[in-house]
Amino acid sequence: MLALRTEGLSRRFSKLTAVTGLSLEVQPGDIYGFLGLNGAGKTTSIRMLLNLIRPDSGAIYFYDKELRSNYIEIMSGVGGMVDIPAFYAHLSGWDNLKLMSQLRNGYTQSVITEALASVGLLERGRDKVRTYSQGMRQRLGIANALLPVFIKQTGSTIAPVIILDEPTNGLDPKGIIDIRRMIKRLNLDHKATFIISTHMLAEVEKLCNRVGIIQEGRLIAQGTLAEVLKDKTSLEEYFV
Amino acid sequence: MILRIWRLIKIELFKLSRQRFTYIAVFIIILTVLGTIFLTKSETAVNSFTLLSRALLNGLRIAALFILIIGCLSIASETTSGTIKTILISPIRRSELFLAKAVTLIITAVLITLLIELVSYTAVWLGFGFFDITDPTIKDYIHLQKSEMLRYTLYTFIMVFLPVVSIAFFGLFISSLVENAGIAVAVGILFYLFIDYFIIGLLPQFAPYIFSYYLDYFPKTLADLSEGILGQMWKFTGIDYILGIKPQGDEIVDYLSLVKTRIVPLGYVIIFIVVGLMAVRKKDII
Repeated sequence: MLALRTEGLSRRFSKLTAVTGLSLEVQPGDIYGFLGLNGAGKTTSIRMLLNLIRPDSGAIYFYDKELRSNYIEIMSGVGGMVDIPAFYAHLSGWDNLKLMSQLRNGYTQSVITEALASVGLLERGRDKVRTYSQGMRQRLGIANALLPVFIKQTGSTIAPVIILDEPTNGLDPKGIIDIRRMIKRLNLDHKATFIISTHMLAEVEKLCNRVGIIQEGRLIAQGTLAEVLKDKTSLEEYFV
Repeated sequence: MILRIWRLIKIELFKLSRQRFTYIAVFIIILTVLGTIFLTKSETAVNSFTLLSRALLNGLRIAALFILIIGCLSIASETTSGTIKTILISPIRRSELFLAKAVTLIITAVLITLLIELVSYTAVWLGFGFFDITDPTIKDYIHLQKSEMLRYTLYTFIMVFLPVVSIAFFGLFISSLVENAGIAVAVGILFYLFIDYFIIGLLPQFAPYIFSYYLDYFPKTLADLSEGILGQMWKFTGIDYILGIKPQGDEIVDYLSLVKTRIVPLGYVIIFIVVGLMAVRKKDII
């Protein structure tokens, strides 16, 4: 059973075709790198996976369950972050996570503490979000996306799937290393599946075990790093 | 589903309670109510029911604007700031979010209306007391007894809830169609003022079919009664008859108009909810 499977996902915005016939396959426990240039269709794909926009055609399955007909059950186990994460600026990071964990019916102090600690934001958790730097907001966004991992009773029968769009944007080099370590640790300790969209090739090589490469809205390669690099010397060759 | 909506309502109320705008709005509304009472009192030949009805009228008018703004911001501000994405990437359906926003608006509108009623009634009662409506030109002539006026005041207090809620839902409706918070507020206020001044003011034959028309409807009648102008009294006696408080006499009661005061705003509320819900469900969250 796949953690995520999409079948022929397509989406157009008036005359622009953003994504065409996208068929992703993500195994449980994968750290799946979704790689593509700016404007390749990564964010549109992720928005469709998180039901923020509707595909014109195609279907999305998490653990063999169709997303829209099993929405509540699936989303109880799915966390995500798209673009620049947005929070209520007049509330603290802690309060924002409290509200979001209440939506998942999983608020406890330990959940918020774990989530904030995992991204190194525990000390500033009680400060208002309006005082946060871009990097700190990015960390808070990741912490929010990780909530299904830390909430024990998610009401979901599926293992956590965390979908992150450009998670290291705005982070300093130490922040990037910290986040990478954290993803690896949660992947190992909690068997969480990660889908990470990025245009940074080195990031994918250091972090991911499987890769999907999207170009002009079409998936041009998919598999383990070794499979994708079979006839290539590096991932760069896909983009030159 | 109900539990999820309840959770969302609690979150919406928590967010409102942490916003400075809420407290500024409440302060300005109370100031308007008290200001109306104490400034109007300086006029001669004004009785306490006139003070109460004018305070209610002005309080509701200013509250309607604030409630309209809260409605206009409810979804549009989440879209503008991007927090709607953060909320929707959770086990919450869009329809549940919309309904939670709608219920929160009802709670807000009812609480603000109750506040206006409580402050205006208490201030007039403690400051001036309530008496029979008498005629200054005819000795010992009573237009309306205090007990009747108090009952009509209670009717007014109850009847204004629906128009206030309809104005809040007008804001929610705009909010679900317009993505930018600033534009949503501007469009909401401009439309509201256009309706208020142009249609209700210049085309009075269409006024009974406009939701905001009924905001003033009962408070103005109460004000008229308090000044001994009894021409519109049928609005209140009609409620008396419906409730069985008074047996139907020879008076002609326009029940159809009375029913219209409920049906028209309620109809708008339903239209605003249905269209708004459809818009939110189909919207791309970019």
